[in-house]
Amino acid sequence: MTPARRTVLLLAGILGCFLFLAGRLFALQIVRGGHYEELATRRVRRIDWTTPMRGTILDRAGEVLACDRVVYDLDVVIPDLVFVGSYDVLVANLEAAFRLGGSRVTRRDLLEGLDAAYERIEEAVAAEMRRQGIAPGAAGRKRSLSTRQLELIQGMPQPFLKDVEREACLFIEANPERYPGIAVRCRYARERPMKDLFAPLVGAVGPLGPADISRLRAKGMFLPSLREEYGRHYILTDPFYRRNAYEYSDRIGRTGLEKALEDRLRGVRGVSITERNRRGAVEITTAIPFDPEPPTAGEVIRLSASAEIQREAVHALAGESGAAVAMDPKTGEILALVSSPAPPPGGLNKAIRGTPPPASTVKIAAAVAGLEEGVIDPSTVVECHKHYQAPGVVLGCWSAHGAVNLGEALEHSCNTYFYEVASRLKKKKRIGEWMRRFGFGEVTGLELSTEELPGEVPPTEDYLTAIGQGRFQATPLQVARMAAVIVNGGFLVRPHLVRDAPLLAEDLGISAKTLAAVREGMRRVVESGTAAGRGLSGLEAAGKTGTAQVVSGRTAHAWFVGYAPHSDPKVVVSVFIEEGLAGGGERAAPVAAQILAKALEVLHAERTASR
Amino acid sequence: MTADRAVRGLAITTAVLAVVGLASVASALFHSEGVRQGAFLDNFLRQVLWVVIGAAAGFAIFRIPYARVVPFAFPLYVLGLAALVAVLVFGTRINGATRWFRLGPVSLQPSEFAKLFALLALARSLSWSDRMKNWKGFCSAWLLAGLPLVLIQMQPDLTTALLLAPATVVMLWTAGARWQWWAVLGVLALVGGAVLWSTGIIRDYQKGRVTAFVQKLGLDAGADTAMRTRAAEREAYQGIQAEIAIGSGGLLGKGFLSGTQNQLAVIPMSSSDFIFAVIAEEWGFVGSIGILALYAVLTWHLFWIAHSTEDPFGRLFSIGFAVHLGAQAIINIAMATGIFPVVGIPLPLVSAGGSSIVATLLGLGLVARIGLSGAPAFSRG
Repeated sequence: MTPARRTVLLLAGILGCFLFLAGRLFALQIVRGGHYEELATRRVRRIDWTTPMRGTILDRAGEVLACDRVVYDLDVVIPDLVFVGSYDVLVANLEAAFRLGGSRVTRRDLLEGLDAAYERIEEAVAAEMRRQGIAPGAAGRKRSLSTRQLELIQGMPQPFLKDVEREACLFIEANPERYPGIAVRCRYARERPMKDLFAPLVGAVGPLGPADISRLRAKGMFLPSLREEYGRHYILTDPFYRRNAYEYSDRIGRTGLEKALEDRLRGVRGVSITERNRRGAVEITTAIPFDPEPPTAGEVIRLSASAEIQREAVHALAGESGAAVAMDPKTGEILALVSSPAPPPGGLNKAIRGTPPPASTVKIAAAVAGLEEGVIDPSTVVECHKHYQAPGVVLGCWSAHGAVNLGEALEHSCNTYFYEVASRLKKKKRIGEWMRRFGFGEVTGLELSTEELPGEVPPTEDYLTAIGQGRFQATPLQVARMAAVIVNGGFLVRPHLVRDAPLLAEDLGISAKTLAAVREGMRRVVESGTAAGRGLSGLEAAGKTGTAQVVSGRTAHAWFVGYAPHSDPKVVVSVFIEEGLAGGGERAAPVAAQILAKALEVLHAERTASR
Repeated sequence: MTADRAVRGLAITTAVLAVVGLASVASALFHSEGVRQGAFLDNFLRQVLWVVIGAAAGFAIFRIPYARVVPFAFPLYVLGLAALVAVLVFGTRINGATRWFRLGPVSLQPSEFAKLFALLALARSLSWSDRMKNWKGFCSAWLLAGLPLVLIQMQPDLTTALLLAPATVVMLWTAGARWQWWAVLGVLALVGGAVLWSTGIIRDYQKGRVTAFVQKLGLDAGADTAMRTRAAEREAYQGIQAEIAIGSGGLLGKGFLSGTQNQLAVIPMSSSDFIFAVIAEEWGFVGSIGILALYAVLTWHLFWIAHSTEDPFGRLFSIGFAVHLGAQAIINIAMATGIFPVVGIPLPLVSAGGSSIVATLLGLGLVARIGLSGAPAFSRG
């Protein structure tokens, strides 16, 4: 082939390439031009979520314990801020707005906030450029971002000032031309007005953590992972799918009722779909098959607990280390539940997590056991010589009571009598089983049951179990529930904090005669026994004291569990006070009296009002 | 056609392309830079200045008898290599590559000049009559082309580097290289390519472009999603935006400054690498075919000059330059229309960017001079 022919061949090849390109252009611009035209003018369907307001928690009387408040934040919006005519004018305008709104934001806050926002923007730009492998170049100076950099950070508003006064924000929103690059954003913040009284009960909300996210993801309740799973466009086919699923920005109940009632409190997010043209303007269109769905706020949940009673209980326990529970014995409604001193967030709530030995308070359960199994009757007499010969060991009573019947045994909290009951029960049904029937050794099923401890009923220590000692462990809530069985006709109720919770109770099948006998004994405790003269008898109260030996020395835990009024019990109270020198009658009974008095007063006022 | 007419045709086509280029760059810059920042006028005037400088340089070289240029072929080649080394050491990094010298307000891309000088050196070397007698001449030609190629790839700029290859191949072919040598070279190229791909000398972003392109063609529809890297997705997105721009131009286009894709600034590098998308969107099928025709006519004129030149240096340089320019245009347009991976190759004479325009106009000036000096080959058969 001569060089000349090679040249011609080459030219033909190159011109052939041009022809091929012409064909490609014909295909793109003429044959499929309409298709691309449509793509170029296509509207973008956009889905907006609206965060719902979290539900409100009220006390028995309707006082707010936890609620969402609307908070206004200011954001810096890029790129608008970069085109601000004068930085100083903007600052002056902002200051004016804050003055008008009576805001506490100072000029210094303002300048620092702006600088910090700028720094974050620059960091975000740098990070994005690193991610895209673009060298920073010369355009890194403050307040002069290049077009390229601006492109990178479109739609990256930066937080500027938090929780700014509403009036100042309204003024800024109403005069956008004076505040270029500044945007007002609303969000909900959780408020707990009676935090000092109810913090451990109500609990707290917080942002989603990595652990929450993996848990929700496993349950199919995490929206970003759902999107991955169903593809980017699943949402276009059903944007209302799992409206209750979580997003990264959502809050979640971390502790207490906020956690236990999460599903009822969080509400359902709102969904709206708009179509926008490619410049971002919203277009009115009939092509959207879905109507916007507003967010549904979380439920308003009323608790059975009363702030008034709770406050009284906190005061009564002030300075002490202990816990108290007040409960409606018939319904299991908790009226007050206090741990003292107030536990720190996530700390030990002694009313449901503390498990001291219940001491002599459980003698009322032991009495029921003895009577129901027929090993004693109310008139059975046992001789107390201060010492009791159990198989292989001599057990003690705190005094030599002489011959006592059941009523007297309860009245004076005679150990010997109940050793004898335990001994006789051994042939029938062991005392520990009876204790378990009374709900000891298991969680009560309160809404906070994930935070509850079950305590322990030792399977073999019959004698010590009968007097609530040894390895026997119980929470104040369990003790209150035991007392409720005595006064509500023999039902083991499930305690609950939410007022409209269903009533759940197990009939223990205890005869009315037995219950009356035990109640009679409990009445004697208050009138002439271990809790006499502690302000209880005026309330027509009844109860049982307990004094738990502490292994370490001469100190003791003090207990009192009781109810009032004796003729028609409305309230059961259990009080537990940690290590002191005195016993249950002396230390715990007065506290119980104070709480009972308040509870009866509140409940009476309630009945009068509803009549 | 006489030599006079060929040179005049060359000049007119060049001028029309340069003017169309300036108008399109104006349109692209207008939307991507934004008038608000005043960057538009800056960038546009700079482009005008480059075209003027390039035209002056091209005209100057046209005025010099090219026999006087020939002795400078090797010194210029060495100068080009030196500039390539220097830019690696002292150059400015932009978008992750060290391709530029920044001299005050302007930046120079030495690779554009180095390629031109490499073509000169190749033409000079191959014009010695005994060069194609044995395989040593073949190898030395590849060495000449290979040195700048390696240096340019180190910036890294693989595509600019590889653009030297077609011109080299064509120059060797027209000089009369034997087919056995080509066979050996082909095998070596395949093995070398595989090694480069797997050892990481080819950067990830370069692979990403190829991957994105392959995906767009649907060749790996079954490939797993891990392959679809973020970079690949972005490249694919850019390519698709350009394709939408071109397709939506239709028959007559949307009109100057009125391209909607251009206005939204979604066309990547709209003033440089993707300028064709802007032209095709705003001037439609008529405009884009017009541009193709202009390049075809320009290439045809360059080939005619090569064809009609007796002098081996003149013939070899002209054909090498013609292929170089034609290949750039073809690859750039193929890329914009989505049938070639996204690569950083400018549309010659049209894309914004000074070095490419000045180097192209210099080359065109030299070929025009060759055209005037060459004897009419057709008349002699």
